[in-house]
Amino acid sequence: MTPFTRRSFLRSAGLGLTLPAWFPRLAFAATPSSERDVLVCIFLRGGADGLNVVVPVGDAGYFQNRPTIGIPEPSGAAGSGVDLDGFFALHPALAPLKELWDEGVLAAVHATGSPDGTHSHFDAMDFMERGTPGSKSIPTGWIGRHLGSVATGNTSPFRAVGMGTILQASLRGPVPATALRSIAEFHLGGKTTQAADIARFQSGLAALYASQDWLDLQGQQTFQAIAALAHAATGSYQPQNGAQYPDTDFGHALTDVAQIAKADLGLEVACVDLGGWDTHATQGGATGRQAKVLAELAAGLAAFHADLADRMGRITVVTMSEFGRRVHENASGGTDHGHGNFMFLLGGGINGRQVYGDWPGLSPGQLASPGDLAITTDYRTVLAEIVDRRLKNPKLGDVFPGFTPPAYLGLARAA
Amino acid sequence: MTAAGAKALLNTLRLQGQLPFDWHPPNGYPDANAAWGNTNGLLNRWNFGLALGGNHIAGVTTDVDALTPGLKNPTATTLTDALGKRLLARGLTSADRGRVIQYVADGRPANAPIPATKIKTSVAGAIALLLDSPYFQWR
Repeated sequence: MTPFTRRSFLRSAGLGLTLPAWFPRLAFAATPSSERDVLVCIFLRGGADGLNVVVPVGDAGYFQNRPTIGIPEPSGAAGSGVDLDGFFALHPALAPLKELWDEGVLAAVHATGSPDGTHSHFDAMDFMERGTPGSKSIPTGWIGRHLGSVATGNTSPFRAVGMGTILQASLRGPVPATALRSIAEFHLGGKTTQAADIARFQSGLAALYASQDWLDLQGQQTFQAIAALAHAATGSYQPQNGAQYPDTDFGHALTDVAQIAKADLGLEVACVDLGGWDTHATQGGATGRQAKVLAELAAGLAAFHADLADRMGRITVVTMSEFGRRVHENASGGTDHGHGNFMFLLGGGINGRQVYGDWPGLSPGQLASPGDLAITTDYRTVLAEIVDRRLKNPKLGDVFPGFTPPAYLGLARAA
Repeated sequence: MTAAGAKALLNTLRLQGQLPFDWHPPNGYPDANAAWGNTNGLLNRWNFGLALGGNHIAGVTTDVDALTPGLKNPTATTLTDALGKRLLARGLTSADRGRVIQYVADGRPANAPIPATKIKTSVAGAIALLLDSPYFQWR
C-alpha cells in the first residue's frame, strides 16, 4: 500500500513554489562545526542473512550449505558475487558499494554480533540496542549512555535523532532524542493564511506543557524541534553530486539525516531503520526478496556518501542486525534465525577495503549450535573502537558496562 | 465518515506508526510509553486534534454541536467548561482552565458571549487545544 501523503502530494505538485512560508527547509552551513564524527547507526531489523551479504565464497562449506540460494563465485557474469579480497564477495545487489570499497571508505566485519545466544528477534534487538547482551537490568541504550557520558555542551534538540515513528531503544538515556518521521511533515498543520492562528494555537498549547512531567518534557522537546526547523528554514533540499536516494522510507530517512547534518543543527547521532530481513521463506539468491532490500540498502548508502561528499570525513555510518541466519538453507528456500553476522562501516575515518574479524569457518565442527556462524568479534568491540576513536569518548565503561573490549580491530583512525 | 475519510484516518495511523499489521520487525508493536511518547508521535497527535476540531479531514465530519448540548450564546468560559467536561471527563486544574479560556477568548472578555462570526473558529480551536493537551493525551 502506498498511501497518498503530504510528501507525495508535494512531490507530484512540483515542490518549491507552492510551499507555505512556514514549511521547514534547512539552511546549510558551509563547514562542519564539530570535531567529533556524526554517528549514523543503521539497524537492519529482522535478522539479516549476512552470509549472503558479505559472502564467504572461499569457504567450500558455504556452497554445500546453500545449494539453491547461494551466491555464485565472482565471475563477471550477471548475478555472480562482486569480489572483495578473493575470499569474500559482495552480493551482486550491493554492486553500487564496490566503488566505495575501492575508494577505501567502506569496510566490513564478519562473524560479529551479540554474544547472547537468543534466537528471539525481540530479545536480540533489545540486548543489542541496550548494549548489554543477556541483561535487561539497565534501561538505557548504548547510544544514550554515550551521549550522557560525553560533555559536548550541546543542547540542540537535534543532538540525537531517531528517524521513524518510534524512538530506537539504543537512544534511550539521559539526553532527550528527537523522533522525526520526516522534516517536511514536522510542523503544526494548517494553511498558509492561518500562520498567525497556528502560532497562537502553538503558544496556547505550549502553556499546557510547561511542567517537568514526562509528557510535558516530550512536548517541550517537540516545540524546540519545530522551532529549530522553522528557524533554519530556507530553500528546498537538493541532494548534491547527483545523489539519488531510493524513494522509500529508508531513502527519505537518509535524505533527512543528510539535510540535518549539512544544516549544522548540532547533530551527533542519528538512527535509521531498514526492515524486511526476516527471510524464512523464498529469500532468493542473486535476485529475489533479500536482493531487493539489499539493493535499497546499497542505493541509500551510495547516495548518502555522494551527497555528503567532503563531510564524510566527519561522519561514520555503521550497520548492524540483531542476529545472522542459519548456515544451512531451509526447505522453503529461506534461512532461519542464526547467530554470527556482518557489519558495514562507512566513512572518511574508516580504514576501508577490508573484511575484519577472524573467520571461524563453516564446517560442522566450526559452527555454533544449532548450525550457526560462530561469533569471533563481539559487536561491542567494533562499536567501542568507533566511540573511542571517532566519537572521541573514552568512557567505554559507561557506554558498555561490564565489557572490556579486547584489542581493537584497527578499523577506524583516531579523529 | 466516507471512504475518503477512512483513508485519511488510516494515513493518520500510518504517520503515528500505528497502522494495523504494518510493524516491520517481527517482534511486535512495542507497548512501552518510552517508545510512543516521542516528538514524532506527539506532533502527529497534535495535528490530528487540530484537523478533527477544525473539520479539516476530508470525508470525516465532527458534529461539534453535539459536543455542547444546550449551550446557548457561549462565552469563552462556558465553552471551555462544556467541552472540557465532554472531552476530558475530568477537571482541568484552575491554572490550566484559565489558560484554555484565555486562548479561546482571544483577547475578548472571558465572560462575554463569543461573537457569531467567531463561534466556528473558537469551537474548533477549543476542541483542538483540549484534545492536544496533556489531559487528553494521558487518557
